[in-house]
Amino acid sequence: MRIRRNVGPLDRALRFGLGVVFIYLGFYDASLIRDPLSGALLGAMGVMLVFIAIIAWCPFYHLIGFNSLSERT
Amino acid sequence: MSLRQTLLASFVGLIVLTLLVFGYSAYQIAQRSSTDTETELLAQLNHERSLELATEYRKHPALSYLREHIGVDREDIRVLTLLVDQSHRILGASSDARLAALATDRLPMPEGTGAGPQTGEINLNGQAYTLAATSITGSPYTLVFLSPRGFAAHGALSQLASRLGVTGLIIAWIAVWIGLVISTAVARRLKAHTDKLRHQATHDALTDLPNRLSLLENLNAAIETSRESGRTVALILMDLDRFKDINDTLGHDTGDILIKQLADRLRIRLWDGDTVARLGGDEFGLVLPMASSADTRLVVNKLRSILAEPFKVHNLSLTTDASIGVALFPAHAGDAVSLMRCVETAMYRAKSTRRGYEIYDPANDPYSVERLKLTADVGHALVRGELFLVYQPKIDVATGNCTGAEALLRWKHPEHGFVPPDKFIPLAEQTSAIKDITHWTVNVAIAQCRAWHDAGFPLSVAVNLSATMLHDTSLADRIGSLLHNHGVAPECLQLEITETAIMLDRESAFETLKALSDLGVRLSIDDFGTGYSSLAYLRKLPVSEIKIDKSFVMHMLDNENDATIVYALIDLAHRINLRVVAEGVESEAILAALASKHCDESQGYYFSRPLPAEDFAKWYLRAAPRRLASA
Repeated sequence: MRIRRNVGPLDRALRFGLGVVFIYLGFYDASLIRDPLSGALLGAMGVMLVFIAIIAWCPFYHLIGFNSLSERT
Repeated sequence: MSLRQTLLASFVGLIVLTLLVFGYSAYQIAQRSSTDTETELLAQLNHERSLELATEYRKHPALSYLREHIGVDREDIRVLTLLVDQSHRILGASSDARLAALATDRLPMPEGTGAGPQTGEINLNGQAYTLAATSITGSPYTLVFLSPRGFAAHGALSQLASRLGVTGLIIAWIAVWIGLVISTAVARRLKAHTDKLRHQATHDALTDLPNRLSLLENLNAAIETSRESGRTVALILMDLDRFKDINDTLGHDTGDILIKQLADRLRIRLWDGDTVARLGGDEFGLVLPMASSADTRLVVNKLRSILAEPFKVHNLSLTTDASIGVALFPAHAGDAVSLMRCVETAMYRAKSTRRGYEIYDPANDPYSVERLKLTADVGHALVRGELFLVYQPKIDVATGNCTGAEALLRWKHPEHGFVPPDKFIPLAEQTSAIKDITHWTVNVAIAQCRAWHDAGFPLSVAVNLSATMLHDTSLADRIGSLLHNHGVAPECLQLEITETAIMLDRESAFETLKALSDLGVRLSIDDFGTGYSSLAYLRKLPVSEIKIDKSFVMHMLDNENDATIVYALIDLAHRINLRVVAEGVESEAILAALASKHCDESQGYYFSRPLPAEDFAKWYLRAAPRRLASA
């Protein structure tokens, strides 16, 4: 089954930006978050956000039947 | 805000609130525990240092030595150290002499040498300090440590804050998603429930076809579309004939099965764009958006072919027929409700005429707007003086003499001009206007008769009596008093009643006719041969004359059957001692044929069309001598 994209461009950009910030704060810069466990969790979230932004398909959107992609197709 | 959004917002709100409460209490607990920890830590440091200093002091018992070594160098804690004697004098300080001066007389002192560290809090320059003091064993001095409050909290709290922040973020994120999922699920379930309810409200339970409500909605939608496109919308109403018989004879379950089978056939066999609805009982409605009259006829034929196939119910083969009414938008009505009324009228007409299929015709609609208006106008016509009488001569066939005239009612409508009697009399019969109109007509006719007598014309006058008037028990009395008022002999008045009117309600007709006959008025049966009547019954009526309908007379020379009927009627009437009047005499040849069969009187355009009173008098004066001469 071909996965149908359901994340729009603005949504993707936001997710990507937030994901990169989370990865940076979680894994690379400990000045704000000194606790390693918290950092790891935040970083993992960041990785997920970036991943979703890249494939443009959000499983939760799929689950709730939402779509931030404009309905042109 | 939709239900889903409300649910989601409240879910997220709840999570944020929980996080805030959780964060606040965690912060409180952390701070309290850090205060305890830091006092303990400071006391411990203070104690250890004083023990070290006591050892040093034993080796170098000099105040100057102590002064130089009281300092504590720690990365994590900022500690101010003071060396005081028993009278609270500060002998040495690690740093900030000003602070030391402030502290001088407020420092708590350990009781006795070698006692454990004394701890406490002190406020200096608006800053809270934790304090620990231990006397240096073997010396008169006490070592005091001061540390600004909250030094230990910083590390623990920053760890707590970041953990709380990140977990909070993740929890909030998860919460948003859970909220979305739950609210979607709830909204979906609610929607399914609402859809089900809506389906129940708009569909028939037995057949699952749309119901009346749904049909009206579709009809409204089709009409709206049609207003823009200009196409015709057809509404078809189908009602099964004698369906009640099936229910009564075979039971309601059989009837239900038949209805279900019919519904299935309709669903399968009709076009998708057309709405088929069960309006209740054995009534079905169809909306054909954008229908031409050919399409409509096609659908009606299809409906009839669907019904023509027998239904198999409980091993029985049942057939049923239907009456179908058709009404069109915009031709027949301007809105859905009126169209519905029109189609019902058409369907009922189809049922009553047994033709099976009828397109709405405003002329047949007792409730059409024009008809209602006309009905109201009939009521006013008399008062407004719009009614008048015309007279058509009746000629004695044998002598050629004019014996009298039939008074005919005419209505000149201010807008529609002349309205024929067969159109407005039925309207008047629906209201009480017929009573007044009859009374007025008889009165005017008798007055005219009086005028003729006064002018020396020996004429009688004939007036048509409506079927409804035969139920009026006071009719004979009123006519009696009119005759009396004008001084006209009852024999000079002739009342004409159609045979259908008499047969409608035999008993009251008989009573009224008897009363009129007793009065001395002559009675005549109008339009004889066109209605349905019982000769056995007619024989008993106090009638003196029959009038053969003009439809037989007009064509009697071309049509042998008509001639036979006319001759037979003349013969029949004579045998039961009734006079015969032939209507519709249009030529001399017809008159001659009637004369040869001894018809008594005749009437028709050959002599004269119906004339107003003055013209009739002129005609009489001109014609009477000629007829008399020719006789």
